[in-house]
Amino acid sequence: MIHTRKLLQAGSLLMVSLMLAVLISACSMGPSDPHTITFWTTRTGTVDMGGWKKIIAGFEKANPGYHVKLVGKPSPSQGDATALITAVRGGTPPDVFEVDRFTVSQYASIGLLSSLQPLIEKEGGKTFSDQYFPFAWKETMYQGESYALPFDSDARGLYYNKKLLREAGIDPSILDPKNGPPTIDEIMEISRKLVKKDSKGNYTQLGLIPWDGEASPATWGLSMGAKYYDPTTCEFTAFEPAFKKAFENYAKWSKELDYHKVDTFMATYQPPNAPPSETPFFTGHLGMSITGNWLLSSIRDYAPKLDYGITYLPVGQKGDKPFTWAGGYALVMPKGVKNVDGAWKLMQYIAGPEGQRIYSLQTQHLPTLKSLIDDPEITAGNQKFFASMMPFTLSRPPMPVGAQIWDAMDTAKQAVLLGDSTPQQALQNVYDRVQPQLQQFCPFQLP
Amino acid sequence: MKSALSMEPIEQQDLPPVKREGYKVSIWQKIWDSIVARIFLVVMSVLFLIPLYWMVATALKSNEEMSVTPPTFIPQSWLWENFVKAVTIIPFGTFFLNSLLITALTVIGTVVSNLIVAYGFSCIQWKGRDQLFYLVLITLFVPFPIALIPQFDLFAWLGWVNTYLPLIVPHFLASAFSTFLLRQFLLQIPQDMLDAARVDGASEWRILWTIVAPTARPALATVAIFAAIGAWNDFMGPLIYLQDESLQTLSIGLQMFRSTHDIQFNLLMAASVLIILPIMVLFFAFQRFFIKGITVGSFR
Amino acid sequence: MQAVKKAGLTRRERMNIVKGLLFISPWAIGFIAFVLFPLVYSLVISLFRYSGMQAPVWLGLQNYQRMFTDPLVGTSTFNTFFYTILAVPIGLVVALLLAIAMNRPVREAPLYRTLLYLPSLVPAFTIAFIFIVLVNPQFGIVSQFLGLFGVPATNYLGDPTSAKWVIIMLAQLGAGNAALIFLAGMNGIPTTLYDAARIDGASKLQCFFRITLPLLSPTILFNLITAISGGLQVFTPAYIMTNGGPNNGTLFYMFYLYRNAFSYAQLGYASALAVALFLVGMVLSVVLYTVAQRFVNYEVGA
Repeated sequence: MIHTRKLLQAGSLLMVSLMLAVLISACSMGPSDPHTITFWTTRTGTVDMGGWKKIIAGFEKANPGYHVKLVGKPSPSQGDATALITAVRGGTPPDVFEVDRFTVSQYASIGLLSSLQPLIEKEGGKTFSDQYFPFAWKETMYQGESYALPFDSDARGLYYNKKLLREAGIDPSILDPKNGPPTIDEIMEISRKLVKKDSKGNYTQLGLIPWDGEASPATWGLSMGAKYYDPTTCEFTAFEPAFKKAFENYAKWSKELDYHKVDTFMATYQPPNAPPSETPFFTGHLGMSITGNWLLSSIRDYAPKLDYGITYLPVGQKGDKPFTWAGGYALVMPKGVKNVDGAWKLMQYIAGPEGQRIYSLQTQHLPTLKSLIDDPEITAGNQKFFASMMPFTLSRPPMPVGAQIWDAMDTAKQAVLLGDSTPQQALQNVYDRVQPQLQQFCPFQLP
Repeated sequence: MKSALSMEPIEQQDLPPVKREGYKVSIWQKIWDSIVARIFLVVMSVLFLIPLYWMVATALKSNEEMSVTPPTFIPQSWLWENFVKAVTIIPFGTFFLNSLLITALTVIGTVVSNLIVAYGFSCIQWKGRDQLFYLVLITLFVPFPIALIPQFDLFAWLGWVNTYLPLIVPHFLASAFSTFLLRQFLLQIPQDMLDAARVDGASEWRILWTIVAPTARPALATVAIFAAIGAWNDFMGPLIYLQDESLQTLSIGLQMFRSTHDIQFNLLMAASVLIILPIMVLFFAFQRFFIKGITVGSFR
Repeated sequence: MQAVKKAGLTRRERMNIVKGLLFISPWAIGFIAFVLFPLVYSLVISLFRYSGMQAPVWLGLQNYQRMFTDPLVGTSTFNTFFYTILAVPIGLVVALLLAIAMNRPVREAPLYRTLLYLPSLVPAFTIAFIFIVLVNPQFGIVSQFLGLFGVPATNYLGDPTSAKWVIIMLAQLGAGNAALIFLAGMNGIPTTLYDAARIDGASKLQCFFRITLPLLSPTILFNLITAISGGLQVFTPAYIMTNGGPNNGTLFYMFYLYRNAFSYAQLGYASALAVALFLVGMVLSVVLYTVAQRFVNYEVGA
């Protein structure tokens, strides 16, 4: 009868579905094999994935018998450790994970990572770590031990549009890096000459927007010598002179340039359906931009005819030494990894000369190995300028509350720019958010 | 079964033959109705279509065209190869099949389990039923981030990580949303009808599948579509449970068009168009189930 | 049966309870595993400081006390309530309008229905980026439209309040979902009722308010409660599009919770936040549901 048929249909459908599900799960559960190494990356863009595949091919050729499983774990939000936390807790961590180097200290502090120190000692301790630039190695340290191998790096500088400068009657050669870094005042002066408005008073051209791009509190702070941390009081130094000046500058510039007008300008001239790395700098509406070496590949792809130059980041006084700071990625071994030998082999390869060479060529990022920095193949064209800064590059002090500091500083910057807070209030908010968290880790030593 | 079910609502029987004659609507009225309705529809469709038009237009643009300010409304170049690029750059085929499998199983599980559970909460009169239903209601408010960790722990303990099981099995255990939805519909079925069937000797199971399920078709179709879209676009689940590229889904694949300092918008949009195409077709084909619903007043 | 009030349950009643429980057993298993267990877990963890990895440290009620002094809790609560109070009614109205549109007996109705539902199909990741284009100060449709009324071009995503409005508007693109539910509900109303009313001389508006709305009340209740649930837990736009900015203007409660759990590794605090959110939602929904029982008509024939 029709009723029993329906009943049987429903029942059998359920059975079949459940069986299918179990079958699928059974198929994917294979025995774990010491010659299989799982590698997760959060950088899953097509260019990055291309780079990974090449590196893995190189590794497998150099280490026959080993097989690397590459898994992309994209992370929409910054500092988001969801996939890693759940995996380590559940006992299913990857053997090697690629993370933002800036977060290593934080992940180490909550017990997500295995210390690499014993493995590094076996490889020669200091001779091993000396291969890498100090700024990159520092970021891998937590409480005296290293938890990561630094992998790639970036660098920041000031880009300027030569054509727009000439149109405003400025000789672009004054910004040539041969003359040393420009001062903040100099740059703001040039910037004022580049301002153009339309009949309604909206901006159609600007010089430098001193809070956009990489002109973050970190950049201005570090340029004026920010230390971030006072070990004697175990305090986050929110109110140190460098940060104070940086935020006072934000407040000053916001008023001078009228933040809302600039904001509208930015949202207007940033090609809306183009990548975030593109700025009005490409379309000739912005004369100068503080950003990183990654812009080079975007220029190559999207604005190959741009007439531009690069120089050092602006400094406080004339005669100050050139400065920049860098971020980048690193390789970590999560806690609970069983295949330590395989993982360490892979990490050494990727963060070693072969891996870094392949990756730098593919992605136009900078390597962290001293030995590769002078290689003309890797640091071709304008990349050479950024590479030349590696020996004196700074990095952000690695703290277990790094993500909170970054978020809080960013919010504080927005608040000051919008006029919702005074610099003092904003810094107080940052301190209030960060200090209680930092307190839990006292006593704490920076590397 | 016919005997118990031949109860027609009184209104229909009372309807005078006047219906045929007195209910004449003038031609002008008809034209006006259809024109006004059409204008309304066209306006709303255009509003809702703007984002989609933009999606398709962007998918066809070249890299250079995307940096043009002001952005072009109609793409100057119609790069159909963007679609080809989108499916070759990421393992689109694998992701597609995986998403398909998960979605299909999810829909089956959702429809079957929620129907059964909703039936229990609505068509059977039992003491404590409505009080217990409050528990279903409050489930809607459990914040997902803190459920993530204990659930992952549970699945890890079961050994189900890196399989599809954590993504599918929960749907076979009913969900607050779908149960609530179905219940609201099932409560509108007159109890007398079900009681009559019971008097005739039908078991609850039989009543469920022969009377209630066909009546609830619009609601079931709705539940099915929601389940399908939810599973198709789900990102968090596949992210934390699937650890093999061969198992990953389209929603993860979509993220691969973004790198740290760059988003390939045109390819992202092309991939998105391809991703919504199957569901769109599904929806178009099966929407008669939402509409041609058997009204409460006239059962077979 | 009426005259005699027996103590305890009759055999029939007991049978029904057994049947009822059997039918809802799948849900019961799911409830215990995926709702009760996580809730109890969170409740316990909220009394500790826990990173998710290391040994938990007993804090008692400190996490809850912290919630009262944490300015971001205030900000995020305000943001979430702002969103919910606006998005819920607007969403219901838009969904109702959509459903009415989808229900028009025109020949190409299937086409229109699909077109109107389409935005709800697009993955959140994609639609967020599209919407950013649409609210562009100079070229976006929104600005061009408002410009006709003399509104100057502003970056809607650059101001904390207008950014919330952008997200509220973005949510309306997904109104197709609630509309579908209304649609299914509308089709459960017998056309005979409308015919009878028309004969009695009722206008279209009267039909709507006297027949459609009351008979739609079960679905309205459903959409209302689920909309509130969605509003209180709004998360994805902040996660994908705005990262909580500007100046924490779109830092929704759920997003702050998520950040505490997975970016700052403060699982204990996040659990406390979650417990609070859950309690508020629970009370709200129970009250609403109970009160609504008086206004909702279930059986059409009744």
